[in-house]
Amino acid sequence: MKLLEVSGLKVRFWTSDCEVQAVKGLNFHLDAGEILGIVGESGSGKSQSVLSILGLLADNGTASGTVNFCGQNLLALPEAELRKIRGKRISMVFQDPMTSLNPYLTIAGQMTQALRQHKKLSKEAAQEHCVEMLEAVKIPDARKCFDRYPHELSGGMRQRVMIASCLLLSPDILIADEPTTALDVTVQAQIIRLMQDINERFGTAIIFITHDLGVVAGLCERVLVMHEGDLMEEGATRKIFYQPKNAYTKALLEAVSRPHQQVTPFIQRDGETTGQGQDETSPLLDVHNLRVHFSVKNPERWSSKLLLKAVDGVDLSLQSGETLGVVGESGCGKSTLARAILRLVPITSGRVCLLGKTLTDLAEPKLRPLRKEMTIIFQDPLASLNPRMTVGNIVSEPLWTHRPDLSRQAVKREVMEVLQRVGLGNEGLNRYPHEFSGGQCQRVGIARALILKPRLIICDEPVSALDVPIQNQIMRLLADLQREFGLSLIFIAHDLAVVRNISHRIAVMYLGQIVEVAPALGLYERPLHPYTSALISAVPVPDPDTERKRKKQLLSGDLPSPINPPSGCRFQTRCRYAEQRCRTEVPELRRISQTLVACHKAEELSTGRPTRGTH
Amino acid sequence: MGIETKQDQVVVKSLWGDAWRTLRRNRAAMTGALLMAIILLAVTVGPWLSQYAYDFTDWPNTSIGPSLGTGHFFGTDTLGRDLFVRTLYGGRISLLVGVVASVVSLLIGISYGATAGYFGGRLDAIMMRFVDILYAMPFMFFVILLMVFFGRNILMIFLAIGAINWLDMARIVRGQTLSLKQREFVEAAQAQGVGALAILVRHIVPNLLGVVAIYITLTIPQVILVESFLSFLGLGVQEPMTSWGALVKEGSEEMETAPWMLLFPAFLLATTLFCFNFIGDGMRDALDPKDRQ
Repeated sequence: MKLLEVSGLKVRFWTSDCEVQAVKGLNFHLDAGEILGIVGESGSGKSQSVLSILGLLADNGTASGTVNFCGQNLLALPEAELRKIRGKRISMVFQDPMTSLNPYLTIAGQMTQALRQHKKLSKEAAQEHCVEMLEAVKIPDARKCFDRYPHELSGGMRQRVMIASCLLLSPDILIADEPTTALDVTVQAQIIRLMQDINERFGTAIIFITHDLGVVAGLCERVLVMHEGDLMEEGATRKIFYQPKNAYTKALLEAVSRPHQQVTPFIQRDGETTGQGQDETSPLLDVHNLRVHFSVKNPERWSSKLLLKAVDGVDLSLQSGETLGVVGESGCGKSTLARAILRLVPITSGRVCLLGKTLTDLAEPKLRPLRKEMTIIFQDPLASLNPRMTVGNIVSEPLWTHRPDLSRQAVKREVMEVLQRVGLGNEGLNRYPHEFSGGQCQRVGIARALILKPRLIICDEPVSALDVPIQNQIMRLLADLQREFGLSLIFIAHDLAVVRNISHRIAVMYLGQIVEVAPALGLYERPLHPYTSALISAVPVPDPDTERKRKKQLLSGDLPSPINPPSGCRFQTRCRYAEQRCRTEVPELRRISQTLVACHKAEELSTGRPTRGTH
Repeated sequence: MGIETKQDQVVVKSLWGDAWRTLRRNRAAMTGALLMAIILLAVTVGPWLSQYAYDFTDWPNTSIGPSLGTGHFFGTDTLGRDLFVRTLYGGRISLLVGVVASVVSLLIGISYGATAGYFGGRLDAIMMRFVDILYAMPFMFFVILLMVFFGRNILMIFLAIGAINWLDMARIVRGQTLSLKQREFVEAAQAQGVGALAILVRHIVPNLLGVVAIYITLTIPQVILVESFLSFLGLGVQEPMTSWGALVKEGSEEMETAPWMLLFPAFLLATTLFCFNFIGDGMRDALDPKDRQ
């Protein structure tokens, strides 16, 4: 039965100087109780098409065509009629759960409002219904959560609350617009599981919009692929994945990273043994017992301060020409670690040595000459470029600082050379960052990092903000540059799939500590730490059959607070193998064959069946 | 990779270009700007077109009304001085005070506020407490004190007004700097080892300009008003030189017998203030991307 039928949907926007066609004639339908995926890069019109269905387009946009829902054409309905359908029959979950919740209302306030308006329930009955719904989306301690404000909840919890409030009026259709993009992989896996549950339990039809094909594989029955406002391909998920017809779909499939399959890595791994012990020549970078603690305000007592242990005793070493991937959920301290190595945040204790010189002892003026040996590439390509400087000036700036002897001509020559190398032409020299796309901006960021020919580049989630095909281009570029200039890279990501193809070794971080360091391939084949295996398992596989069959180890709950970390092993609160010893004894980082791991039960895990801990 | 985003082919506009386009469509702001241009032109070249000097006393024609025949377009005051020339001269002084005092407050305010905001910590606390102390000083008391010690002098007026006005600017700039220094491009510069001064000049200050540009159009009329107020109290410019404020004061004394002495300068003063307010309003709307359609 067709619940929703869209035909000839066109969305146009009028901007001050031209008309933009965001959606160019889209036809699709949604059956009752079905999960439909809409996949496309940013700017493909996937969000605009569903927004237009609900009449939620921005003021300068108009939609034409027909959207047939229960015998009514939604596009022709007056606003008052549409409002009755919106929320009640068709409900929507947005990408950022924080901005779609009102920060001044408690969860109770947000949820009961809609319910009392639409269903005219008494206050008590409405509350009762809300708590039931919160329990349905698996919020632990639903009644307690009910009285909290949105900022007191984690991102995953907020998204659950959003989903719960969408389900309150038992809609026929739930539209989810990139609901997991802002979340960690581990939380993403939980939310996807939740979506499946909801579909099974309430029979709600779901339209799931995403840029990530991997997410769609296990979840959706049918997939639409969109590109620049056009429908590229439509079909059953298996058909799209196994027999894609459209060239664009094929390219998109190729670009998806597959954590469990062997693909050609971007780098050459010489003998797979770039472990620490094997190479005793002095490493390029040596980090010893690094701690970064911040003092934060105590919300309960005005005068006292609490200690947030963002990085708590990290040891690392990096050889020349090596890439180390650093992976962990958001809030695990990986970005702070990067900034601490570069001395951008004050270090509480510990030592960082670069090229045999101890950075941590040096005052800023003495540190400056060493700064040209190490540099950083940021996550948000646009935010890391000064909007008021031309690209030429942005890339020249390191030269002005470190090579004041160079003439204007020489600077320009070097800048042009490096821009060429990162794949940008010279015409960009006098343009401003906002004139470039995200991927091009990231290339500018790389050019700026590269111009001084540093020895070490720290990449802080350099591809997280980019579309998947662009991600691969940037990673390939980084790998090429590494080979060409003999760079050492520290590559930070929240997603294990991303770092796999570029790293020699990978370090997994949890709550400010490193729990496992292993050669890249070994880590995926034989993860020793339970957290690592959970991370690997959380990455959705872009293969419908495998994804549906494989057993997933879902991590329960969220990352504990780094202000008050759990006793003993920090992972014990979420570990399914945890036993008494894990709660009291802190595990040391120790070596098992080529891997360094901090887990009491690592040996058991490496040999096969671990005994399950008693909770 | 067969896929290339087409984003780069879309014509993207700069913040300022966009703001200019929006501003041009704002009728109130454009009318304000046009009127302002006419007033500026009149004030600069107007005095040369009249046959009278600003301090020339035309004894036979004291307190006569506006007439084209005598060449006193705006009439004369009680001493027989030509009001047309005096109003234009007064405009020169008023606008000069407005612009100079605003620029002074701008320079001090930006450098002070950006320094306090960027370095933060104890330096910030000390610098901002100093601002608080200055805020607490009664403005009139301060001006009278200056006048008593150094005599009445146009420079003193610039100084006094500038000294008070930069406080607001410093606070606004500091607040903006606090959020700007968290941005990644500033962090990128720090990671390169760029010095603090260069970061302030290259990265912080240029990004403050949007706020500053708006603030300045709101400060200029405020300063003109303060000068008028001082002149009205008799603390402003010295005779025979004059300003709009001083003219309004003299006019108000003869309101019943010679209303033109009040009306002409008051009209020009009010028009100028309206112009600046409309331009400022228009710029605030134009530079805020959320307001843009």
